[in-house]
Amino acid sequence: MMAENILEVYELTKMYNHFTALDHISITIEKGAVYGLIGQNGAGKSTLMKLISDLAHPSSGSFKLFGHAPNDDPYVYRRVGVLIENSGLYPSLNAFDNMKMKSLAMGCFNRAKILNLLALCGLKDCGSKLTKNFSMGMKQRLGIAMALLNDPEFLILDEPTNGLDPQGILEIRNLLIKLNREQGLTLLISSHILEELSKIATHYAIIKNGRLVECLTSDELFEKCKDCLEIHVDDSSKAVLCLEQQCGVINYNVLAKNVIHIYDHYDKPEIIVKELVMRDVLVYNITMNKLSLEDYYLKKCGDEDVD
Amino acid sequence: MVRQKSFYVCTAMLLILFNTSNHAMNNFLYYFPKALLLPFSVLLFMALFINEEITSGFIKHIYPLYQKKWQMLAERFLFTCVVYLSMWLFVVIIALVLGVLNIFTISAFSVFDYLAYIVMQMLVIASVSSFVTMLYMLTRSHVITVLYVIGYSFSIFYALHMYLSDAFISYYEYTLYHIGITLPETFDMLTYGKSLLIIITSAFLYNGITLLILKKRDIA
Repeated sequence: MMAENILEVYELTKMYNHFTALDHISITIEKGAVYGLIGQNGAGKSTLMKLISDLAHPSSGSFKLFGHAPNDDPYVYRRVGVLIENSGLYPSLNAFDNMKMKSLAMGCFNRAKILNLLALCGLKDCGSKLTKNFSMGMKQRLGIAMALLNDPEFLILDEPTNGLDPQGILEIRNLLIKLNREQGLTLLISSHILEELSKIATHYAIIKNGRLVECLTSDELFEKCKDCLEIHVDDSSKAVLCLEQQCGVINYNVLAKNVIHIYDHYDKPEIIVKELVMRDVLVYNITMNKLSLEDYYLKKCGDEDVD
Repeated sequence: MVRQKSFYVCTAMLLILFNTSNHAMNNFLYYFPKALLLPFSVLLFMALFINEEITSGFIKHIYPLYQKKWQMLAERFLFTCVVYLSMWLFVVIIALVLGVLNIFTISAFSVFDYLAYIVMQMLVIASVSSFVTMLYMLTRSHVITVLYVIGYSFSIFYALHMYLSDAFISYYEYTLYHIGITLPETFDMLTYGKSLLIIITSAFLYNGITLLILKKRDIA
């Protein structure tokens, strides 16, 4: 049974005068996924989030939310919760009143629900403190609470752990995991803390200079980041034959440009090199690979040519 | 509205009007809406409200909820009317409380004429508020919108327009400022009808331009 797609983006482009902030991006987010957006500052992550949240207009391209173009469903954005850049709070109001203002605008004011959400996001004791006196972490927590106010099915979070201490990061991570696993909430998260993102995301999209570099699932990422021996040879066909017959290597992956990743016996590089050389295979380079998400991202975004 | 600091600032300014005005009940009630401070207070509050909504980022929470953005602008038009009535009522209550012995002198003027005037001025101010919204969306400048509110309320713009255009057209009858301040003391169908026509077309024009701006410019 095909999973329902929460978001489908087709060739979305955003230009500011002559600057291309987003260049023909196409992604699909399935229901229940936790989609991580990775990219350097100014890559286009926030721009993409603003476009799909109706806070900015695309220059070209289109997208669908819950299978509908936004213009076809007047209530589509009531199913979406958004936290992009700043939390969007009235500085002269306290946390409860900010939540109340939004819920009144949506026609769904419920005092108990607001108090529950504030408690869920760790703001139970903020009382009558005005948001202009909040720390950055408190503002982020309130922003997340505001995004959850309308019981969304799809949550768009731009750097949700920005400004939070380690305990706060852990609490928000656990909250998002709980929302995803217990309520089936679909998440689109951008984060600079890749280690943190790798603990929760099921899918990743790497964006560089407004372009989509790669989309992959967490399983695919795991495969690519697995401990392995990376060798550069002159003839990958000949090398593979030798590896299978002489070295007993079963798990390997031939990449482009005669590069082979070896997952078996990667702790015995000297034997592998010896066998290859004896079979007249030139070995240009051999390295031990142990990639984290951060390493993979830096490797990906640092390459001029994309695999 | 009552939680906004700007509401109390603007309402306090109305008390200045009350304290400096003639406290004879019937004259005060009838003439104070024509004085500049009620329109100025309402317009200033709306300018501050719109500015705070966008600069705080709160607009991000509600803007996507409107599929038809004209509904958002229509709500703000009606909200201006509510603000006008709230501030008018506030001054009336203060005046009644402090001038309670003179309450029976209200019968000295026609209540219908008075209410007709209040409604008309309320609509004028709401239409001007739509212009303020349009100006802010165009310029995203708090300073420009506040300066415009001051210039409008103190008839600086009216004087400038009249001076510049008087050689070409009879500008006198067709300005919202003029209509708002010098409506007749008794109900006059022709004058009120002309005013209403200008209010409606102005409101549509300003909000229409605001809609176009919203379609072109990003809200965040």
